Amino acid sequence: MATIYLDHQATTPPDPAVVEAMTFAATHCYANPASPHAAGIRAFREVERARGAVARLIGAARSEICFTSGATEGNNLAIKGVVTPGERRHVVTTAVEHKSVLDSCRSLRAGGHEVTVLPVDAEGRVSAHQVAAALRPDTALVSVMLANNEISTVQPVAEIGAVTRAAGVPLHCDATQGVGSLPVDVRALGVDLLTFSGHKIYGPKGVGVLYVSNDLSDRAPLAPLLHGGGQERGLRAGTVNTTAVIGLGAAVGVLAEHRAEESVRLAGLREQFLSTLAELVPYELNSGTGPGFLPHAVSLSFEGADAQQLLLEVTEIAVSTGSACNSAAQEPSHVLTAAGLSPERIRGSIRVGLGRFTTEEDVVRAARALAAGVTSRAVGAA
Amino acid sequence: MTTLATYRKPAVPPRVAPLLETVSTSARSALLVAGGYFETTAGIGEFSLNSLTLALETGAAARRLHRGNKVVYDVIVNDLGMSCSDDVCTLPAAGPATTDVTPLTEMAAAAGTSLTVTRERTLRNRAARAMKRRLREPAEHPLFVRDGDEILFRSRQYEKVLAGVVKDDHVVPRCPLIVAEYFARYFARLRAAFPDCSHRHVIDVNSLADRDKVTKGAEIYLRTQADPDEEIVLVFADAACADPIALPYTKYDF
Repeated sequence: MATIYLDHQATTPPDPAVVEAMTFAATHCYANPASPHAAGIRAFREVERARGAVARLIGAARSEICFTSGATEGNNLAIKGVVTPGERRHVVTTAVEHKSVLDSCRSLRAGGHEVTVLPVDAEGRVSAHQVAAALRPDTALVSVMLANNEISTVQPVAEIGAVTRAAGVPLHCDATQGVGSLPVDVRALGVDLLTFSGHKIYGPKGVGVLYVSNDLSDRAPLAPLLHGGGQERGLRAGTVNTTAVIGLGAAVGVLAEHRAEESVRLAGLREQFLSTLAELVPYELNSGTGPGFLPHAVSLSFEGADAQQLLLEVTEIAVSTGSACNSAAQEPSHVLTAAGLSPERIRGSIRVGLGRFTTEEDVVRAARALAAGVTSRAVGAA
Repeated sequence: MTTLATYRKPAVPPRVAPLLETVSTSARSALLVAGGYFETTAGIGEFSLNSLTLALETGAAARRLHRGNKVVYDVIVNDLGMSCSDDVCTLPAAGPATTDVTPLTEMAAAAGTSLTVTRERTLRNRAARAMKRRLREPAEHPLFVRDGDEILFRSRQYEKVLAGVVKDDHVVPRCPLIVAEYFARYFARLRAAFPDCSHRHVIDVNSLADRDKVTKGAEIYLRTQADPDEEIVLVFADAACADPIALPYTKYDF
């Protein structure tokens, strides 16, 4: 029987429409979009169509969309691009950000800049008040994620945006986890920079988006990390990954059409998963399931369990213990730690992420398989 | 032609369908279709004839999209004797000072319509005067900056856009500024002639070689003068104009 894939926070399978678009692109749009001949202009047109689709999805202008290799590159470019030029500056971020944000900040700190890492509450949330209190005259950037990849917490980005706008400090938002489930409008959020990647929204890997507001570009253009042919308005040199960009455009099109009803459907499936599991084995929720949390994901712990060992044994399902990007580090989750969970509870934690192709049957089977794994280990331990 | 889009207007001939993709079928639109471009030094050639044919075909199809649509045609004539690359313009050997446009007007007449002719020398002079006014009031026009003798446009697409140069206190416009000037004239004409049309489109058929200069010119117009309901469709084609490529732009793209 096929593995039930419930790790959609790590990555998503490409939508059939994406595969179709990429097949078309690979066979018809292989020319360099910067080339002056007809084939190049044709490829350029398709890239611009994808750029337009992305811009519409987040309420931006087409000229504000920069294609990158993914959210990690986008986060690096946003943070280092704002802060690197000029004298020593100050950056504010939160303890639950993705590693690509935290490590970018760490590299700035190593370069002599100052970084304030804000703690979060038990739900993993930071407040606009905390951000306001952390701002200084030399603050160059605030970086706060839209939603967390482990505990699904949605941050009050619009409230934080109001604070940073009033202070004249650029706000960066890593929207990688949220953009697939939540409506995102860069003007309503008040962000100057926003990142996400294709493969979290049923698009291809190796492509992402960095939104840079024209206001910010006009005031203080970002310093590029890559230099060369001046592509992407000089912000990201290198030949555009046409096939992946066109695939991303298709993914965005599908997302825009179905996001609202899909979020409702997935919240219902998650409820079914949790209620089935609750009938079979006790667990503790590490994340909320109401408003203020992503609808398709949940983090939970089994008392006394070693989740890593458990997942090796429950082979019918694919789920993670923490951030997939970080699971090789063999360290306790920095997110769960920041939210104040005990090491024992972190050790027994898994995250479950449902997706577009998840069915009712999948969640029931997954709950039973997990419960069986937990029970057999408990019996074995006794 | 191959494209990702699924066209919603099967009645439109396939060749011109991409050029009209953004034209409303439920509201009246005013369109100016520009084709037939030629340089006086070279005379009316294959691209001129074929691009005007494409323009006339496009206009006829546009009329069928909505019974209230209004369509006019224009031919740009390059009588400056210049050919341009990205940053420099060169003067080729002098050709005839005037060119008979009868073959083009006859084509329009055969299609049951008429066309106007716009000469780049006129556009250049108007663009120079407008730029001189802008340079006198830099605070009012922050998108143009003087850098030595160069007048640069702060583009949101290109790293550098040379709008003109200053020589002996005279402004010499470069191609993007001349292109922006003809868009300004075109839309002014549509606004004046068809005030009841809720949308205005300029469909501009260009040679593949002119991609950058017309794209820069479109950005200059759209960011400095355009109304929200105006759209420029840049069309690029080879001499045969068999498989044109359309790129629509509005001010919201920037």
